[in-house]
Amino acid sequence: MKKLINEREQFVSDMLSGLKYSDPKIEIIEGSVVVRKHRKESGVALVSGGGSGHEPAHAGYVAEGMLDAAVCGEVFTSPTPDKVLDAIKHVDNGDGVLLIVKNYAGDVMNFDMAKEMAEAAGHKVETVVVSDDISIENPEMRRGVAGTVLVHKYAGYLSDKKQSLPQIKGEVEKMMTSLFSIGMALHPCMVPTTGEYGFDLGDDEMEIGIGIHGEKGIYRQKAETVDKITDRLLNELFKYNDNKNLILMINGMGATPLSELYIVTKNVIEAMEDKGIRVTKLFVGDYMTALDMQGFSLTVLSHDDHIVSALNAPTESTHF
Amino acid sequence: MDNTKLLHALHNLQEVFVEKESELTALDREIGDGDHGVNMKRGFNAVKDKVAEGSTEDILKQTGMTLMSSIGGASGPLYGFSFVKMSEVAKDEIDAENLKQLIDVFAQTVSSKGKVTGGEKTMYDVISNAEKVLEESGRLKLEDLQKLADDTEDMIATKGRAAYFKEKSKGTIDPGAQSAVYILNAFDLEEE
Repeated sequence: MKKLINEREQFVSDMLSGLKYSDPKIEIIEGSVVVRKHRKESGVALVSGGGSGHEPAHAGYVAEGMLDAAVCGEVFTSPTPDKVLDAIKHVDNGDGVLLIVKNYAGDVMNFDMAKEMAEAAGHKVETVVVSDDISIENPEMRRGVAGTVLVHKYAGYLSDKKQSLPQIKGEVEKMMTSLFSIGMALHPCMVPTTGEYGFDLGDDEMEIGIGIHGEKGIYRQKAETVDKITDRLLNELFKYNDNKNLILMINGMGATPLSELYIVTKNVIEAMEDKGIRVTKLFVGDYMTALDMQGFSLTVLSHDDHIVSALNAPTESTHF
Repeated sequence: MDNTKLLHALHNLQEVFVEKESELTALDREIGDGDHGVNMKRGFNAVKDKVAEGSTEDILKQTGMTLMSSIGGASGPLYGFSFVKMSEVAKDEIDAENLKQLIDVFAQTVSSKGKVTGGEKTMYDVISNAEKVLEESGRLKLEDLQKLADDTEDMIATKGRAAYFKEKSKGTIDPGAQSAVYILNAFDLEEE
């Protein structure tokens, strides 16, 4: 394995140390909880997090206009309840805390335990669970993937507008009913803590329906030209959202050249135009990655003027 | 099994998980995300570092809290919380009858926290059937527990990350079932 690392056990702490140098507006508490240096004095505080390896998610979104804290677990491993509790205690200014959790058994369990502990200590805490990955048929089991970043931004805006904890939870849950994603990979990611690829994929194969943890996809087949791949993914997405005005995110999985993401963008937008679909807000870039996986995901969200204003509102995050 | 033997057995799991890291990683790569070996090793490294002598109850509780704050993922709260719950029913000297109670509590905790029942291809399939193994042989021998983990090979996962693969999850032992074998074996009364 060739990786730009020292000890593999130090992967997360070394990364966070570097992140702190690059962003003077954050600080790191309790070893792995990234928080804003200037704590918000009022308004619902937003805590997210999960395993590391999804950079810039989630720590890169700790900034004015988005998250108040990101709890960083080991690579692809949910953080532990004590760290989530540390985050809640640090950011709560009395207006309550919203936990934004991706739908993975580990994340849900660890954040739930932290919520129970925080409530016992007198904090008001609510949870929203993001499950936008339609490559899983059963809605209850759908994973939370790139759509989570749009949730961070929307919730951050609502908090800045001084909405209450139940209001934000309600608005976000409403938004999530039209939020759907699907991803694909040309090349698996190398997990630096194990020195192994997340899965094996032939040189001429691709995997459709991958999650963001290097887990295998739903099916694999011979790689195709990008127009066929984008059609394949869009056809799946349109089964769930056939709105004619869509917010669209084209997300790189970590090691996809921006040039190729733009080629994906061209194909996706043109295919949508052919179907009479208008993209009212477009995001292209690495938002929720899986280490050095090559591939991309598409996320769609039904257009709503209010949500677009929220997504356009300023944030100090350099990654959004 | 008194507190000293229990602590020794739990500390010894550190070596076991160092040795089994790549085995668990290989299973998890097939039907999960490939980190179960690393996570279990990190958990029991922490147990060896942090869990010190005390009463049987203390040792189990400390082990639970340590696992909960070091493994992460789904296994962290499941194993961690189970040890905390087991500490509540443990006697100073764990005999066969008390061990049965411990396994009962272990299985119940995993079932309620993980919302899982039998046959879903998880650690629960090993833990919930360990009681039968204990009744039949009075022991928790590695080879008997291994058979329970082997039984998960042909199951189709409906819980955990393996469930994303549905039918394709067949043919691989569940990594959590495999790690449960080693943990339960640490409670084998005849084992040094």
